[in-house]
Amino acid sequence: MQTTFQHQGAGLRLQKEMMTAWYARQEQAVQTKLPIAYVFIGGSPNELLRNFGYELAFPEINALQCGIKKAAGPNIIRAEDFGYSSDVCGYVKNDIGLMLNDYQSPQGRLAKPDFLVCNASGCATYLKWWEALAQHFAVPLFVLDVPYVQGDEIPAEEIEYVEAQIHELIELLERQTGQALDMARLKTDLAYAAQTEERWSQLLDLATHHPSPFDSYFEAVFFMANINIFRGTKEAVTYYDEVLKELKERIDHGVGPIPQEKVRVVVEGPPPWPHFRSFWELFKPWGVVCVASTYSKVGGLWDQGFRHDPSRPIRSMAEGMLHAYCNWSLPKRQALIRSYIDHFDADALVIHSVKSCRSFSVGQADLREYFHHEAKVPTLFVESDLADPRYFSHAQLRNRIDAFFESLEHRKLARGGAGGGP
Amino acid sequence: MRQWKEEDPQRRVVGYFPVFAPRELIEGAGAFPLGLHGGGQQVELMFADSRMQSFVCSISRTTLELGLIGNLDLLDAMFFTNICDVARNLSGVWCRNFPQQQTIFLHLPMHPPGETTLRYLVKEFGRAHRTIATIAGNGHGTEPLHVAIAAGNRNRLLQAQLEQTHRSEPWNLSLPALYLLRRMGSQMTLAQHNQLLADALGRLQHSTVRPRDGIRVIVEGAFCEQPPLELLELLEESGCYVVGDDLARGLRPESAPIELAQGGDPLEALARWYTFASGTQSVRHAPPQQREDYLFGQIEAASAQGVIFLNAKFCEPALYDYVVFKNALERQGKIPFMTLEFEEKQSTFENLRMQVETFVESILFT
Ligand code: SF4
Ligand code: SF4
Repeated sequence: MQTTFQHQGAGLRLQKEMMTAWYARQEQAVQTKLPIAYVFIGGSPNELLRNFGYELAFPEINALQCGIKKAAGPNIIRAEDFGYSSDVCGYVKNDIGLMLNDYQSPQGRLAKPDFLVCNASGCATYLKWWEALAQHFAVPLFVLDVPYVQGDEIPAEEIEYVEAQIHELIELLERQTGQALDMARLKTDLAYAAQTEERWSQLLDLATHHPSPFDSYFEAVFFMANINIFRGTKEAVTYYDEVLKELKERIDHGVGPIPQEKVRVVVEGPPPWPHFRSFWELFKPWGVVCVASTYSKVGGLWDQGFRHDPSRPIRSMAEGMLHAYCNWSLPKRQALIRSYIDHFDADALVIHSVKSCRSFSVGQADLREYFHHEAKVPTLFVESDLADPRYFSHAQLRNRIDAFFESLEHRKLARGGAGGGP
Repeated sequence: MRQWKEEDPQRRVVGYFPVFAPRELIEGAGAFPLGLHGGGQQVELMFADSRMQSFVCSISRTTLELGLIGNLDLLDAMFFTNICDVARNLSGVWCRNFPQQQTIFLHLPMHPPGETTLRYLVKEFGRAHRTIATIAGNGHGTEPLHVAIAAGNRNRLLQAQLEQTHRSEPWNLSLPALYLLRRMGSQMTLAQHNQLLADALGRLQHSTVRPRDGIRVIVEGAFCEQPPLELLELLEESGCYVVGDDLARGLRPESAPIELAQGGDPLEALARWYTFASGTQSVRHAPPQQREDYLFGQIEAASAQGVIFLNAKFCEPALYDYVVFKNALERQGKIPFMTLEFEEKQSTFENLRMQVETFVESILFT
């Protein structure tokens, strides 16, 4: 066994460098004449847009960053003053709020779009969001509509429909930029994408270890940034190599994200970004470690075996777009969570329901019914929001979380397991 | 309906959730299309509350409740489309809770109209048609589709005529009456509905209600969850003639007919109609300018003096489009508007009445 740590923090340092450079490119985009394409995370056509010289920007990530840096509240209120209801998605309102404030954000001034690609995989709100931006900026909008995946067999016409739209997008990009698609580069980038996906899947699977070397919710949501933003680049591959070393080193030392892992959970639903740290703190005293989460699959379900394939570039991109978590039907989501519980040897399921995101949350209460009553998996259901700081009730959440893990601990003790809450 | 079904064990009923369901497709596959528009004020939530959070629209919860209390056990299948994330996910909840029914989910294209969209939709419609025809034990022949499309075209025509009458003589055909005639379409076949509409048109020729003072308004936003009838009555009692609306939008398709040549492919004709001629809807992608043009088109066609936004609480498609509409009206600065929010199970209206009366007065006296 190793006695010294050599790799801890390496991933974080590299990620910071990559993100800082990415934000700097966006901030200087006007001066450097770097065209900016706005895309969504789930099944985004990263490799294709870079092929035509676009830098990518993800307003969802901006919303997340504003949330975590406690800047979302004023943005949301600005959007509500503009006419948005208190009942619609806070991510959208955060972005509209930024737009109305000339994109001033904690990351500096964010780039405005030159091109909007609405890769609509898994959320109907995406369309309304990009429609609003298209109107405000008067820039081209391309809607890449991705059918909802229902069964295990995806009908051929649905894949063909996405594929045909990708071809249309390529034609549009060729017209817009005056450049032809560089197929050799696309294949190279898709090969990087596949390598990244492979490493990311290996990383997620490390949580099968006892104790898990990382938290697959509270930490994985940061690890996932690189596959979502930089997928299709060599740097993304290098990043995951570094993180894998770091996590394997933790395994060698038998350490995990908290001093002692007592309860292993699967988490369904996005984090409450504006209260991220305090939410995590509510679980830590109970020794809770998340070993699999669904939120870390919103960009793509690569852990389920899907890979981009340079030998089938367009087809595999189309397939990838279909397999974003929120684009999977509830029965498929239910089966996936069930498989996570078994594969990662979890004791319980935590469902975090957020008001903003109907795409995630409608059906979660029914999932609770299934897991609690039929699958007999102890299930905790808590509610707040992923963007709007006003919906986080600390005391109420603490009561529910404490009550749940206390009762779970009693059950474990009764079965002879480890115990010891706060 | 239950009795009708029991009379012949071969009969099959396919329920459909708003907004749009191709009734022609369901009838043309040999099943009866039963439109569900929530539980209105009739249903007390006992079970659905534990399966749907409180921030979700009422129609999704009451529809689920109707299923959970056994009111919909006559359905052989339930049809959903991708109008919004709520309806989309409700299809999955349906699938788990009602395994004896077939849940059919149709992903209507959001990519702009064109050959890609059309090619895809022909196949999607084909798949849905085969599924329903199999449930109905009806073979996959297309002749019944021809018949249903012809009935659907006549339905469009009759509805357009009724609306024309309503627009030109709203005192002779009130909004609640027009609306109920439309809603009846969800409970009968296209042919039966046509008969009802034709009778109504005939009777209207002899109607001589005296006009009263009223401002002409259009109502936007209640395309899916439906307001209580009292609310529609209230609008007229408060001095409005509602001469344009998008209530129960799916039951009032665009008047352009489905063009189907002799011997043509009915699925292709239906898909072509939906792709190119089914109009702007909040639950379908459209460039913002198109949405504004739609609103101003509605205002112009109805010679409306004002707009009342009637948004269902928690209905995201309506609430997002409201921003587009409101800002367009404010920029234009000529047409006054007001905004109301409703829930299908609402039972007190006095506040709303006061708001509408104030709105009417502001138009009459400025
Ligand atoms: S509804 Fe959910 S998936 Fe859609 S934009 Fe909002 S947070 Fe994102
Ligand atoms: S009322 Fe609105 S949010 Fe609810 S199902 Fe209908 S369209 Fe969706």
